Parts: sequence; C-alpha cells; structure tokens
Amino acid sequence: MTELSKTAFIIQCFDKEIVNNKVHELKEELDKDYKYLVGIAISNSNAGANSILEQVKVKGADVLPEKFEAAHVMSTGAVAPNKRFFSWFKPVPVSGDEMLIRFSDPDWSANYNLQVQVLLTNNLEEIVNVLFA
Amino acid sequence: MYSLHKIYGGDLKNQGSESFRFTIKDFKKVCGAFCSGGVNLSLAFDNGKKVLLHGFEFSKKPDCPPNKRPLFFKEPIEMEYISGVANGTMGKESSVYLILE
Repeated sequence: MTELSKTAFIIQCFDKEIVNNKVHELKEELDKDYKYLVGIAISNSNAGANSILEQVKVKGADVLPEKFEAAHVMSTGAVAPNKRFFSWFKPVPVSGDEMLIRFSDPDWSANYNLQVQVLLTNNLEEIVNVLFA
Repeated sequence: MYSLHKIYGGDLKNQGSESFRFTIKDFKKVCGAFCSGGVNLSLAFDNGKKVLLHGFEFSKKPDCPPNKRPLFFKEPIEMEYISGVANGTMGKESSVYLILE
C-alpha cells in the first residue's frame, strides 16, 4: 500500500465569507507546480447540510456536475484528514489554471467562513491508491 | 479512471416518486451509484432486464469518507440504457449519480 508521507501532493484552500443565502463565488489560480486536480472537500463545521456547489469549474470545464450537493464532499472530524476528499471524477489536468467555485447555502442564518479544499498532485497513480484504499 | 454523471436531477414532483432513463455513451462499465440522502433508489440495467437496486435507501453519512459512500457494484456492467425510480420527499431537490469507468 502507498504511504501518504511518500506521496507528492498539496492541499490548496479557498476561503470565502458566506454572508447570505445567495450564490457566492470563489475564484483562485491553482498551484502551478502541480499537474492534476484529484479531490475536493468542504469542512462541515460551518456550511449547512443542504448547501449546493452550483458550479465547480477549471478552465471553463465542469469538474463536478452542476448543482452538486455539497454534502457529498463534506465529512466530520471523525474521518481521517487524508480520507475527507471526494474523488469520484476524472482527474483534471491543470497548470496554474483558474478554478471557479459557485456555492450557495439555502439554510444560511449567520455569517461564516467557508473553506473548500482541493487536492493537487503530480503523481496520479500513487495518490489514487491512497484516496481509494 | 472514473467519471461522474448525473442521471436524474429534480424535485420528485410526482408524489415523491419519479422515474428516469439514461443512455450511456462512450462508457462500458458502471462502477457505482449514489444519490441524495433520504432517497430510495431503484435501478435496472440491460434494457430493464436486470434489476440491481430495488428501493435502496441512501442516507447522509458525514462520518463516512466521501469516497466510500457510493454503492459499488461488484461486477461492472455493460449496457445500452439504464432506467430507475427515485422515491423521497415530494418537492425535495434530489439527484442520482452514476460512477462510470
């Protein structure tokens, strides 16, 4: 089995303050030193259970289907940190490309900081072994 | 490598039960399925001849790693189209996804 400590990867975080129940946009360039986007996660400590990832795009192409329920990529602290990513999508080749995330929380009641984490790697085979082990 | 496809998306208008059909193109294997929490899902493959799920209830499991939540099929299946029924709370926005290889 692949050991996580030997895997070349990085977790890049997108932060945004959620101030109402409307759609919020998170936009950032991905780390140019990594070649593939292979996972996405949201901490569920703040976001509502009915939150929606309206769009997740890289280079204009959808990474996840539109209106993807955020609950599918959310997990509690009971899940090991390296197992909190959702990876059931085709790995996305990247090269410092801009990533766009449109997020909404219909049950919003107070301001909170949303953190979306994306997993980037250079070694596709190794990281996939870790993610699905 | 895997690819994710939404095969149903809607608000379960018909008294909380809606049927759907999906034709697979460019993929020959289905590796798994998942859907919104609280939805009972039935899926039939091979032009309706092979029922793989019948009223299977998916629940939200935040304590389970996201990659482990889908229902995985032991044998990948080749097919022409799949059909299914999603049951749940009427008016609740719900989705059904297939993992294709």
